[in-house]
Amino acid sequence: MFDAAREKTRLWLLILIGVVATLLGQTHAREIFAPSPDESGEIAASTPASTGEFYDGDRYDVPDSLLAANSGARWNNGWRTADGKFASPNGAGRSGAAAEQSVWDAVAQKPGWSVIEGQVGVRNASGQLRYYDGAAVSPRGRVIGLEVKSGSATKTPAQRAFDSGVNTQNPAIGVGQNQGLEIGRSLEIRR
Amino acid sequence: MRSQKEIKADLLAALNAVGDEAFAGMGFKRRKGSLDYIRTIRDAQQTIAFAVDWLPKYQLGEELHLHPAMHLAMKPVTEAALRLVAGNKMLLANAPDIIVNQPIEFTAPKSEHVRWFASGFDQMKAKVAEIGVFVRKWVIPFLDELTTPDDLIGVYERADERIMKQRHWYLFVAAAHLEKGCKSEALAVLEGNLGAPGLRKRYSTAFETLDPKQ
Repeated sequence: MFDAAREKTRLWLLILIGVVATLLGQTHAREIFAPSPDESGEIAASTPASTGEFYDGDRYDVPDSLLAANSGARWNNGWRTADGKFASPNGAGRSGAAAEQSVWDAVAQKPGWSVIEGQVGVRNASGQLRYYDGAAVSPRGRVIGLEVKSGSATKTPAQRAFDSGVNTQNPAIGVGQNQGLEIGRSLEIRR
Repeated sequence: MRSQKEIKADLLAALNAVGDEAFAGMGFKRRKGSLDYIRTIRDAQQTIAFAVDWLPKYQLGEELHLHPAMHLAMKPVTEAALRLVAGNKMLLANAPDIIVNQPIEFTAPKSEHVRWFASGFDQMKAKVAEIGVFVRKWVIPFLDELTTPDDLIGVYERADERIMKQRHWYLFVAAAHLEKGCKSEALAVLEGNLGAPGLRKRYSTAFETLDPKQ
């Protein structure tokens, strides 16, 4: 019985050594586990595709292959414009720049629905301030705060906390140019 | 890129150059440095507010997005509404003076809706002039029908789609009835629109004011 167990362990060890040897034969372990640009926020200098394409070897410089279709947008701890603002890699302008307008258009197309365009400022019962990316008005007059997210963007913890506390019994109240507005619900829309 | 202060100065200059005259022709006046045009007709104070998003992130390259709103206030209705909710302003969205605050586009068919972006003084002048034309065509005919508590009741009764009907809108309609001394009509408005169990609980003060037996 002990012989069988020892044989089984030896077999597993051999498999493990074989796998490690194969991996080492293909590339350096550091490359395998190196974070992708998405994770690290910088371009790993050791990736074969990027080697030799740097302008001056600076690790934050970007090879041509990593310049976006959006002229001027380049990878620098996320796709960014030359002045450091987040940008869309695929189109002109800033990340999500056109997303709000396309959401407003989509809501307005629904029969009976209307849109309050522009930023909509509201406060909740505890006085916290939140700006929505516009608001949808249902045919029955209910106002829904819109949070438009594009790409992989997600709500911040503060936005999530605010939205979870808003309901029809406990609405957020409009402030400033949105006085008189009651938002009883919010909706995150991905574009 | 210009600062918000510089852009606002241009907008105010544009309002001064073309807006003031256009809106004066419709009975509105603007205080110096203000973005609001106000007129008073009978019981109503009506405002066209030039709501602005400065340097909008959703339209890069433009300095501002004008999305004007119309406000309606009626002092007698506000006073009655506050009596109705026993002074609890939160039931009136913490803005008892504002019966309606909605984008001016709501008064027009969707096919007429416009997005007004502008950069620089000349564009701002052109957009302000366009807005003046829009207001004259679509907003004024509606505002002319909203000058007394009776008008408010009329808009409710004909289910006019040009007005945004949030829940507290029905409190203001009930208040318009109350202001005329018509408690039963006021109660009927509440029963018809805020009578569901959850809503009745939230607006219980208003129900109790009109019918203490409830």
